[in-house]
Amino acid sequence: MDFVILSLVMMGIGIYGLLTNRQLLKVFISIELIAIAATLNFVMLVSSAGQGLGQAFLILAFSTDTAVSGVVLALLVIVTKKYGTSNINDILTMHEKRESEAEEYGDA
Amino acid sequence: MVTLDIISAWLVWVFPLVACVFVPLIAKKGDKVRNYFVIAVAAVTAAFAFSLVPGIFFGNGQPTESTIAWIAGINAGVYIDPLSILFTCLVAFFGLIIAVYSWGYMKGEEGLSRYYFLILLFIGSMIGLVISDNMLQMFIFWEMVGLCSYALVAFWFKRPASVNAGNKVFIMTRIGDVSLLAAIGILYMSFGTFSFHGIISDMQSAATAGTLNTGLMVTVFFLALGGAIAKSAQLPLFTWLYSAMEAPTSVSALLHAATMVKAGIYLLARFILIAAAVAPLMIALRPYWLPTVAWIGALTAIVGATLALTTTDIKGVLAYSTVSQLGFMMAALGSALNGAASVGWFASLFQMVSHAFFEGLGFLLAGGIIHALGTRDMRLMGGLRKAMPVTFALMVIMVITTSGLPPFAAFFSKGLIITSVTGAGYIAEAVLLYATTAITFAYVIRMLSLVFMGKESEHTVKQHPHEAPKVMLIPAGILAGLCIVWGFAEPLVTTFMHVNLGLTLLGSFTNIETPIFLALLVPTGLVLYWSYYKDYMGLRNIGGGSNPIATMLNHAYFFDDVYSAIAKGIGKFSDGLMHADDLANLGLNSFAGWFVRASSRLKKVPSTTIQNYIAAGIVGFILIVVLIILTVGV
Repeated sequence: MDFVILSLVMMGIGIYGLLTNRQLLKVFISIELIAIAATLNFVMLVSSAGQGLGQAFLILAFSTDTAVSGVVLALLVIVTKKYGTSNINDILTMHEKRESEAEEYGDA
Repeated sequence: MVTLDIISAWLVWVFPLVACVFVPLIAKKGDKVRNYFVIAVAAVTAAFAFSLVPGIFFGNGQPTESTIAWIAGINAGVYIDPLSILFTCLVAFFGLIIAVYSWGYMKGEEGLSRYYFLILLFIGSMIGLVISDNMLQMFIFWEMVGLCSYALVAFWFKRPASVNAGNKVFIMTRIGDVSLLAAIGILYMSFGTFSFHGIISDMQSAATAGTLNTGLMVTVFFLALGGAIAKSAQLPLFTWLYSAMEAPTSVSALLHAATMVKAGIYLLARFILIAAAVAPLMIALRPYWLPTVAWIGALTAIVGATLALTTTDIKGVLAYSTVSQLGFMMAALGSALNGAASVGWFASLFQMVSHAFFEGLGFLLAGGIIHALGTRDMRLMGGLRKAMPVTFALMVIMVITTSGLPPFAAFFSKGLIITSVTGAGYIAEAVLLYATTAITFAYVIRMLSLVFMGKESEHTVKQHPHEAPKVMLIPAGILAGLCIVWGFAEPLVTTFMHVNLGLTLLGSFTNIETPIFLALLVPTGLVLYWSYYKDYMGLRNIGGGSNPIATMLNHAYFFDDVYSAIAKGIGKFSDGLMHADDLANLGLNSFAGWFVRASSRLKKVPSTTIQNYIAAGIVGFILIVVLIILTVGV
C-alpha cells in the first residue's frame, strides 16, 4: 500500500501549494499535482488488481487531463494579459470593483 | 427480448444527448430553424417517454431491464419500472414546455445556441439519471445535471452576480456528490456490482444467509441522504437554491423547480424501494434513518416557508417555496415505514408531480412579469391585474394550488403527506407541516397582493406593462390545467405506480385533514388580505424592521453567514500558512545565500594560471586513486 501513502503525500503537497500560493500558475501546478496523485493511485490500484482495461482508461484520463491543461494555460495567459497581474487576490479585488460598477445593470 | 418499450427507453435519453451536439451546427441555418429543431427534439423525446406509459400501466409493476456491455464487468442499461417512468415522463414533458416557453422568454438574448445546447443536454442527462439501471451510470448523469445547472445559472456570464451564483451552486452541491459517491463505493465493495437488480438480489441472499451487515447498510443510506440533501436543497444545504435564481426564469422553472432538484427525491425513493425488498434492512432503517429524513423534511418545510414570507424577490418567493415543498416530499419519504407499501412513498411522488406543475406555473408567470416590469423586486410592483389579466387568472390558480385548497392538485398530495406523517407516529413533524401550510398560504397571498392587487405602483405606470406573448402563456395555461385535474387523477396514478393503498378520492375530502386545512387557511388568508387593503405596511416589509426575528429571517437563519465564516476562516488559515511558508523560504534563502557568498569568495582565489589547474587535477587524481585503493583494495 506504499503507493497510497505516496499519492496521499502528493495530494498533501498539492493542497499545501493551493493554500500558500497566490500566483495563478503555481495554483494551477498545485491542482495538477492533486490530479496526478489521484491518477497515480488509480494506476497502482489497477496494476495490483492485474486488469489491463484500467490502464487503457488511464491513458484516456491522461490525455483528457493534458487537453484540459492546455485550455487552462491559455486562459491563464488571457487573464494575466487582461489584468496585468497573475496574483489571485489582485484579480479578485479588480473583479469586485467591476461588480460594483455593474450593479446598475438590472434584471432579465 | 427486445420490445418496443425497451427501444423507447433507450432512445428517450440517447436521442436528446445526441441531438444536443447538432444545435450549434443547425444554428448556422438561422435562429428560427434552431428553435424549431429544439422543440422537435423535445417533442420526440416526450413522445418516446409517453410511449412507455401503457406498458407500465397495464403491466405487473415488476421492473424490466435491458443492458449492454460497457466496461468489463459493468453493464450500462435501462431500468423500466413505475418510479423511473414517472420521472421520465415528467422530465420529458417539462422539457417540451420549456423548449416552447424559451422561444418567447429568451428572445433576443445572446448565446442562445449555448442555452439550447445545455437545455437538451440537461433533458438527456436528467432522463438518463432516472432511467439508469446501475449506480455508476446514475452517478455520471447526476454530475452531468449538476454541470448543466452550473452552466445555466451562470448563463449571463458577463454579470458577476450570475457567475458567483453559478460557482455557489456548483460547490455546494458538490458536498453531497462526495457523500453519494462514498455510498456507491461502499455498495460496490460489499456486493461487487453497481446494478440495482444485482444489489437487491445480493442483499436478499445475504439476508437469508444472515450475513447482511445492516449497520454498514444504514451508513450507506445516511451517505445517500447526504447526496439528496445537497441536490434537493434541504437543511442545512438549501441556500444555493435561492442564489440559483440568477438563472434565466425558464431555467429556474425546468431545473430548480420541476426536475433537477427532484433528483434527490428520486434517489431516496429508489433507495427505499431497494430497502423494501430486503426485510431486515427496512427494519434497521426504522429507528434512525427514516425519522432523520422526516425531521429534515419537516424542518426544511417550515424554514423555507418562513423565508418565502420575507423575501422581496418574486423569484425568491418561488425558490423558497420550492425548498419548502421539497421538505414536504422528504417528510413523506421519511414516513414510508414499509417502503413502497406505505402511503408516504406514494404521497411523496404524487406531491413531486403536483409541485412540478404549480411551481413550474409560478415560474413561467414570474418570467412574464419580470419581462413586463424589468425588475424582480415585488415592492416595486402592484396593480398588475389590469395590465396582465390572463397572467393574473393563471396566478390565482397557482396560488390556490400551492396553498393546498381543495380541490386542486396539492390538496390531495399534501393531505396524503400529512396523513402519512401522522400515521407513522411523527406528531411533532405533523404539527410543523400544518404550521407550514398556514405560512404557505400567507406567502402566496402576500405575493399575489404585492404583484397584482391594489393601485398601480409608480414603477408599474412607468413601465407600461403588457400581457406576455402567447408562446409564453400557452405553456403556462397547460400547466394551470394540469394543476386543476392532476388531483383527480389520483386513482389512475396509484394504478400506474402499482401501489395498493386503498385510497379513494372521496376519502381525501372526508379525512380529518380537510377541516384543519380550511380552519388554518381561511383566517390566514383573510387577515393578510385585509391587512393589505388597510395599507398595513407590515405585509410589504415583513422582513424590514430591526427586531431579532426580522434580522434572522433576512439573513436566511444565518446559514450563509456561517458558510462564509467558514470560508473566511479557511482563507485566514491559508494566509497564515502563506506567511509561515514565506518565513520558511526566508530561512532557506539565507541558507542558500550563505553558499552563494561562500562560492563568490572562493571565486576570488587567484586561480587563473594553467599550472594551478594542472596541480589541482593531479591532487584530485591522487585522491581518487587513494579512495579506490581504500574501498576496493589493491
